[in-house]
Amino acid sequence: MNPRHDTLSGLPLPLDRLLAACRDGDELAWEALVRATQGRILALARSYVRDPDEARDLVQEIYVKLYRRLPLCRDADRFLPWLLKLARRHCLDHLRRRGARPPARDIPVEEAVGLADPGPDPGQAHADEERRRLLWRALAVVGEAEREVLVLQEMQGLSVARVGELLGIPAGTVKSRAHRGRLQLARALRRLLAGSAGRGRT
Amino acid sequence: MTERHDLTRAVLAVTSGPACRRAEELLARRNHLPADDAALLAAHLDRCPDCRELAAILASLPGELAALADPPPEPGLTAAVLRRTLPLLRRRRCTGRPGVRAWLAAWWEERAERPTLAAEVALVAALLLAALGWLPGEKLPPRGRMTAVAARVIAPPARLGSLVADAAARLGGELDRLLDGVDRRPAARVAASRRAGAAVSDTNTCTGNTETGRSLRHRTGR
Repeated sequence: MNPRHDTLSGLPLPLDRLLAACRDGDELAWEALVRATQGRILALARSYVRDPDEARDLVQEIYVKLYRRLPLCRDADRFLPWLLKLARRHCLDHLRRRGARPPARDIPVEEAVGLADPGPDPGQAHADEERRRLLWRALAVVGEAEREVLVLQEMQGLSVARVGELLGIPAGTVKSRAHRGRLQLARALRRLLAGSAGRGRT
Repeated sequence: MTERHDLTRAVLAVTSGPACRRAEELLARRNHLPADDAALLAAHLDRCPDCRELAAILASLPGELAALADPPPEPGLTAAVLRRTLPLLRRRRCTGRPGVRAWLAAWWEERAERPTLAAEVALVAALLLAALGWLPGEKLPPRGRMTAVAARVIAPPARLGSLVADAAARLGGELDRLLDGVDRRPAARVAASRRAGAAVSDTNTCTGNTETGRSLRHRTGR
């Protein structure tokens, strides 16, 4: 996947025709749209809630909402930012309803290092999967505002202007948050890596 | 080399402190650095393994973060989403192309979700109430008179007697209604007392308004 692109790939039809077919109730078109976007939506949901099952539930609710609101999206070029905005707002509403905050502020790196891995023995797990898990844990300790910018800009590939529009902040603020977020994430990742290396030695 | 490096650290420890924090700040925006900063950063990285490690992590972040949005297929996720949304699709199949009603429903759902909706509703309600409250404007005194009355109401108690008499003489029966319960004397009598000067007579106490009488006694020291 090209990390900078902000358009959907792997679609069987051009997006505008696919969206029109979805609006008409075509199950195949809807399935194709879900398949092409669910990875992004799942990643966005996981940046707000740590529990994978909770994130999966959120993804389903987001798609129900998306289907109801499809008549509003006539511009295929703006579909992805619009979908991400809808998903982000749903995640924030979910957190508000739950009366909880994202775990970023609650779990310092030192504690996160000590958390038990939910998956199999790291020695047997695939290196990519282990790295991915570490990255999620490092993201969880990045400040909330910086993490949102990182997720939208680096993970979802939106431009600075689009991120600013989506979050309602100026482009300069997007850039400074991105710088801070990258630094926080790299520091957290370095400490997590040092912690896991330490555990590996003992 | 190592000795020189240790010496540098020792000097920094008693002067500016370690330079790593500054280097880390520069690393976060490495692609947009002025030439001088880039040269200084490169010189630091040559000698600092910690910052080199951080630089390597930062360089790998864009690719790794993008890969997070393209996760391995989640077993059953697509099926679960389709199960949840299938009733909506079937309903759409029956009703055909979404019409104005569906558009309006989606539009309202999106508007109702806005975080500022509560403030917007409160503002509209306040404007409506204000408009309704001001519509029967003829029943209220004109704004200029209201201001004059307000200025007198908040005036010091020492001048209250003469001010009330003055205002009553000018506003006549209208002010009489406003001051209902405070002073029920006919406007003419108030005007007469005004003409008599600042010394409002003790007959105030006979009107039954003991509060006014008390304040006047206080004013005149009786």
